[in-house]
This record gives sequence, C-alpha cells and structure tokens, in this order.
Amino acid sequence: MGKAQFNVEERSVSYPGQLLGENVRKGENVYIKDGKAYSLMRGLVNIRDETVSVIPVRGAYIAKPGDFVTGIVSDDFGKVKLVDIHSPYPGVIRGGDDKHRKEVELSPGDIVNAKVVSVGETKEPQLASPWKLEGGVVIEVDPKKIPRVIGKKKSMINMIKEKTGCRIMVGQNGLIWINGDKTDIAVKTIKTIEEQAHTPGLTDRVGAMLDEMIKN
Amino acid sequence: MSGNTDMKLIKNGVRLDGRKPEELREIKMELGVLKRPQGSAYVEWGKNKVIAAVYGPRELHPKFMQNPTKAVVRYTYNMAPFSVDDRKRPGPDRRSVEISKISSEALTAVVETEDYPNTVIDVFVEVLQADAGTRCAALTCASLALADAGVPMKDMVVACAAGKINDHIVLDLGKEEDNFGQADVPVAITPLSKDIVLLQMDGKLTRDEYSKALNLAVDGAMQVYEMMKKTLIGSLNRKE
Repeated sequence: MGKAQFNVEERSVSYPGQLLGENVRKGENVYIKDGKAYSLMRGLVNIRDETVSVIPVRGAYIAKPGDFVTGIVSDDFGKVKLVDIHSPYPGVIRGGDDKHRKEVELSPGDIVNAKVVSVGETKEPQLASPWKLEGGVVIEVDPKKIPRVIGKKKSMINMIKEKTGCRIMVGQNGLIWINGDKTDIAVKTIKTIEEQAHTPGLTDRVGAMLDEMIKN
Repeated sequence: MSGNTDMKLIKNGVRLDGRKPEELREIKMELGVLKRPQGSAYVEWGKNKVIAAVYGPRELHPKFMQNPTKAVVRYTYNMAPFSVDDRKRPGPDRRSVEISKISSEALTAVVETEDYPNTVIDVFVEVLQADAGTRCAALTCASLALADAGVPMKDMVVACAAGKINDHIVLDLGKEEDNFGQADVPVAITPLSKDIVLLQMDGKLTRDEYSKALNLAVDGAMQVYEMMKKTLIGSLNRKE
C-alpha cells in the first residue's frame, strides 16, 4: 500500500462520485474502486488518520442493535406486533417468550419506545421491552440530525427537558415523543435545532432562545 | 422528426435562438424545493421546467414486486397537461411509460440498491413546461433529487442531447430544432466512468454523424455535470 493521499479537506462538502483520496481506508458512505476512494453521498467529509468517511445530512433510518426507537404500533398479529418506526423496515415486537416480564398490552395506534435487540438478514429490526407512551405528541425529525437534538453527553436534550419541564423521549429513528405543559415550545425548539443542525455553538443559542420563549 | 428541411434552422453557424452549434441552453438548478419528500430538485433547462421528488427507500407494495436482494428504483415521468402548447391529455401514455422505464434503468446503474433489499426508491418527475429535451432535463433533475435525499449512489447521472439540423450536428436541440430537424440523440452518462446509461435515437444519421453527435452529447453532459457539482456543494454551504 502506497502513501495515503487525500483529495479533499476535512469538513468540506462532498457529492456522490467525488474522488476523496488514494491508498486510504474507507469509512461510512465511501467506496473503493481501483485503489481510489469515492464518496457515496452528499455530506461532510470526515478524515481520521488514514480513514475517510462522509457524514450524511439526510437519509433513511436503518436500525442498529442497541438503538432506542419511538414508533406507532401499526399491526397486531396476536403475539407479533408491527411498529411503524419511519424506516424502510417495520419494527417487530414478539411477545410471549419471556415469562418473567409482565406483558404490556399493545394495540394499533399506541405509541411505544423500544430497544432494538437485533437486526436479522431481512433487515427487520427485532424490538424488545416496549414502553407504552400515553398522551403527548410525536414529531418527526430527520434521523441523521438526532445526534444534534441530543447533544454532547445529552446536553441539548437535558436542557430542553429542564427548561420546558416536558417529558421527552427521543428515538434514534427520528420520532420524538413530547408530553407536558410547554409542549409547543419544545416542538419549536427541536424544529429550530433540525434547521440549524450543522452550525457551531448551537446549544448556547438554543438556550437563549428557550429562555426568551418561556418568558413570553 | 418531420424531416422538413425547408426550414432554415441554422444560418452562418448561428441557430434560431442565437446559440452556436455546440452551445447549451441556459440551465438553472435548485435543491430541496419541496418539503414533504426526502429529497427534491428543480431544473430549468432553457424553457424546460422540471421538478423531481424522491421518496424512500420505503416498503414496496404490492409485495410481489419486492426484490429480496436489492431495492427497486421506480421512476415516474409525467407531463403536466399545461406543459405543452396543445393541452396534453393527463395520465400515463406510451411515451411517458417508455421514458419512465429507461430512466429507472439509468438510475439503477448508480444507486447502491443492495443496501436496501425489499424496498422501493420512488422518483417522481413532473414536467411543468416542455421545450424539447425533457427526458434529459428530467433525468438530471432526478439524480440531483436522489443526492438531496441522501440515497447512496456510486456516481451521478447526467443527460444531454445532440442532434442534426440542416445537415449540421448540434448540441441540445430546442423545440423548433427538434420538430423540424433531422435527428435527435439523447444520451445519459455516469461522469466518473463515462459509462452510457441511456441512449436513444430519433431520425436518421450516418455512422460518422452518429459518433460525432454522441461525442458532442457526452461533452455537453460533462458541462452539465460541472453545474451539478456546484449546486450540490453550494446547497450545504448556503445554510451555514
């Protein structure tokens, strides 16, 4: 392997099919052809040592084991329940095999938060320990922007929870459940974060905006 | 292609609309014009006005159309009834079904379909105003919309047409040139590998004329590609 050489700068905007470098290792959303690395997506270039990856700005949610997702129960086949998690593949909740936990009664239309246990070959995520969410509203955010809504060490989401006093459940799939008196303020705040997701110093600005809105 | 060569379409190397034989029409591109779809784009190509929307990847129904190894790219080309001089009867017709089929095949060549088995990536293209070369404008617009939606693609798809008017090979035919010219060759390529993903011909050309027209169309597509790159990069910088 020759010397690693990059054709792009860190944090520059990349487009599908762009040449990113030679003799480099591929990260996410990058493919290698004839020893050269090309971008698969429009996004921001991320270079770590000899690895190049592209951070997408938009895209569909594909479940990973360990994620917590929010969804709406869409189908009931007795023991098996399908959950619409705004992904190409519906979540599946299988009940019955665990006798120690008490069953949660779920029917179509219920809002649940659940953990992704495994993703099989068919890409259908298996969900477990569903948590039924009563009342409140569900809003949709682009799944690729969820990390900004949560913030570093949950700083952003904790701040919103504190200042609005709402109960908020953020799903990795982009669905956010909010319940509380100041729901409208929380919704407005999260929408602002989504719009300005890739601007620096967001947490402080959002904090100031929240204080302003609560005062009025 | 009525083959009506009586009409003077090119005089002293200047065409009806004042273009040189190897000159493109003016092109304007915009991303993210629609709110509901995952990705969208708008292209003005001369007097053509085309809008594209991308939904998905999402579950494909009816289920028998699903492919368990890869995603299906479903492309719907539609002309608005008011897009042409005489009102076009709404709904799919022979021509739009054909364009939809070949365009979906062109896009399937670049989209990483193996990433999303059993799903569909829906691309809807609406021609709001037509002025020859809508399938090229539509395909270019669709590939921009796919990039906007964050669908993984190995490369973009760029399309451009070339043709023959008054025995001259020219780039990017306009409406009169298309109606009264002798031939029209729409070409779509993947700019990185220069693979041809769509190629049609209407009218008659000799072998020499054909290869000249093909090369001209590929050159034109590369010019369009430069504009696409600028649009894609600019679309993120502007928001910052």
